[in-house]
This record gives sequence, C-alpha cells and structure tokens, in this order.
Amino acid sequence: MTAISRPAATQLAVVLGIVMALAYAGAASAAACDGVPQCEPQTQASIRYSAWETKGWAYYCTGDHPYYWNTAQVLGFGNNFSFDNKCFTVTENPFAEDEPSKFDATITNFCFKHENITVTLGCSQQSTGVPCKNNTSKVVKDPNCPIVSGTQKTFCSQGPVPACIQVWEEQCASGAVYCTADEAVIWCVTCGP
Amino acid sequence: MLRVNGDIVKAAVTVAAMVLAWSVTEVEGRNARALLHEHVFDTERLLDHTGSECVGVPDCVSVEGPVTVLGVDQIRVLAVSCPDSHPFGWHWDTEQHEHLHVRLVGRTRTALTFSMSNRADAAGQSRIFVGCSTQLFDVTRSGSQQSRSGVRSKSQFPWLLGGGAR
Repeated sequence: MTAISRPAATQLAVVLGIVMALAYAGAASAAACDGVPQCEPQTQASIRYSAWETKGWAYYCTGDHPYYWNTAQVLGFGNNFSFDNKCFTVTENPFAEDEPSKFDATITNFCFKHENITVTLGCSQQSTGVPCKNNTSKVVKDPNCPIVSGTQKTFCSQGPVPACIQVWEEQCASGAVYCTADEAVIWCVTCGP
Repeated sequence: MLRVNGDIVKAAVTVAAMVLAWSVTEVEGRNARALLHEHVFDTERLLDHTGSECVGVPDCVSVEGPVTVLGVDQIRVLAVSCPDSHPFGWHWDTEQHEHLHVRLVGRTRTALTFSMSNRADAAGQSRIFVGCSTQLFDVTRSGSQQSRSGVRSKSQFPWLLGGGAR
C-alpha cells in the first residue's frame, strides 16, 4: 500500500466525495415529472441551512396527485424530484419511503455560508402499481364497475393526524380501472391512450 | 467515440474513496472510528438557529427547549411540548454543535420527542425550538424534518469554515 499522509488523503477523499455529490446532483436536476404519468410538480417550502449542514426531510405528494414515483432502476435512487440550489446534494432514502406519497431524503449544504433550498416532487394521479405499458394511461371518472375482490386498500400517513387514501380496482367491460379516493375526491386511471 | 456509463464512474469513484480511507487507517495503524472522532469533527463549530420551526406554520409561536449538554458517548431523549394557547406541534429547529446528531423520534398532537447523540470526543450542547400552532399539523401538506447534524468539517477547509462558522 502506498503511504499517503493523512491530511492529504483526507482532503483528496473530500474532493472525491464532492465529485460524487455533484454527479448525483446532476442526476437529480432533471425535471421532477420526467417519466411520470399523470404528473404535476408539487413545490415544498424553502428551507434554510447553515454551512456544511445535513438535515433529513420527508416530503409528501398530496391532493389529487398523491403518488410519489421513484422510477430508478438502480438501487432505488430515483430522480423524480428537483431542487433549486447547486450548493446542495439531495440523496434519496428509498428504504424509508414506506408510504405511497412519501419522499425521504438526506439534504446537505456543501457551501460555506447559509443557503436555502426548495425541493419539488413529481406527483402523480396514478399509483406506481398500475400496470400500464409504456406509461400510456388516462384519468377518468369512476365508472362504478364491479370492484375486484381483495383490491381495496387504505394507506395512511404516520403520526397523530393521519391522512389516508383508499385504492381499489374495478373490472369494466373495456378492461381494468384503477381508482383512488383522497379527501372525498375520487378518480380512476385506465390503461391506453 | 468512447462512452462511459455514469453509474460506472460513480461506482469507481466510490471504490476509490473507500480504498483511500482504508489506506489512511492502514498507514496510521490506528482505529478508524477513533480517527474520525478525533480529527474530523470541529467540536467548536455551532450550527445556528435558522428559524425553520415556523416556516409555513400558520399562527406560529416558537417554543424553546432547555439547553442540553451531552458528554462523550452520551445519548439523551427530550420532549418539547406546546403551550395551551398554541397547542399543536409542527416543525422544529436547533442550535447545536456540529458533532451532535438530533433526531425526531416521536410526535403527538401537542409534543415532539427527540433523541440527541454525541458523535465526537468532546462535549457538545443543543437547544431545540418547536413551532407551535393553533391549527393541527398536517404532514402531507408540510413535510417533516427528521434530523439535523453537521458535516464533518475539521481539517477540510479550515481557512473557510473556521471555528464557529455560520
């Protein structure tokens, strides 16, 4: 093993870390709705960070676009979010995303002064579980077809005031329809253009 | 033209960094965790209170918890409650040393519970601020901060960060 002085090695490791961070930052700077069907961007509140500071944050898709998509194919580190400040790295924690609406990330300010960051999520009306090929789908009113047995599920956010969404599948003559109820609003998704 | 897969580059850089870190330990012949604790945290640097506890919180008042001092290897759990006038807890912030890790571990309608741990070889202190409202907290509309800590800054760029840098 080649001997390297510790300060030099440490600083080199930091430089490599920043290179990696910038690589991930580049990946995350794509539009939040890229590749997400029936999507709208939902912008979160701007948060202030001190220099060289890390915070963990959980953000949620809400309203009539309650589904957060993570379309990543490698280790679950997706890019269906964006942020507005290059001082930051935003590293998604897919294993903490245990609710259909939840985005979880570790956010670090690598600049040498206070900075603000605003995160935008790509939020969909279509659950990631809807099996439409090539992301071709459309949103329709509830056709009130027969509900497929065993498909009714309720997902609630954790905490003292849970927010819940209900999902179910209906079988119509034209094919399967996938429905969601959120805050008394009901909509459905069918596959096809 | 040669094309390089971005994931491969990231993986290569990661492996290089790991080898480098291992080589440091090898050269020094010392425990890596001890090295991190002794030489990487700037135990004098304070992360200041940025007022995040009331961002986006309707009719918010900021409630300060007590100053908590953590010795080496100590972990403490602390609950901060909201007053009757503004009973519902929303967001939170801290003033804390870089080497402390503060984490939200529980939430009721009127109080937030935190764990605080010390990751270095010197004592540190933290004060927690909770944003309290007259309206119920709604996690899906506002999100929830989970943790706060400093990036290990000692010996990296001391001429820029310095002690107590903000």
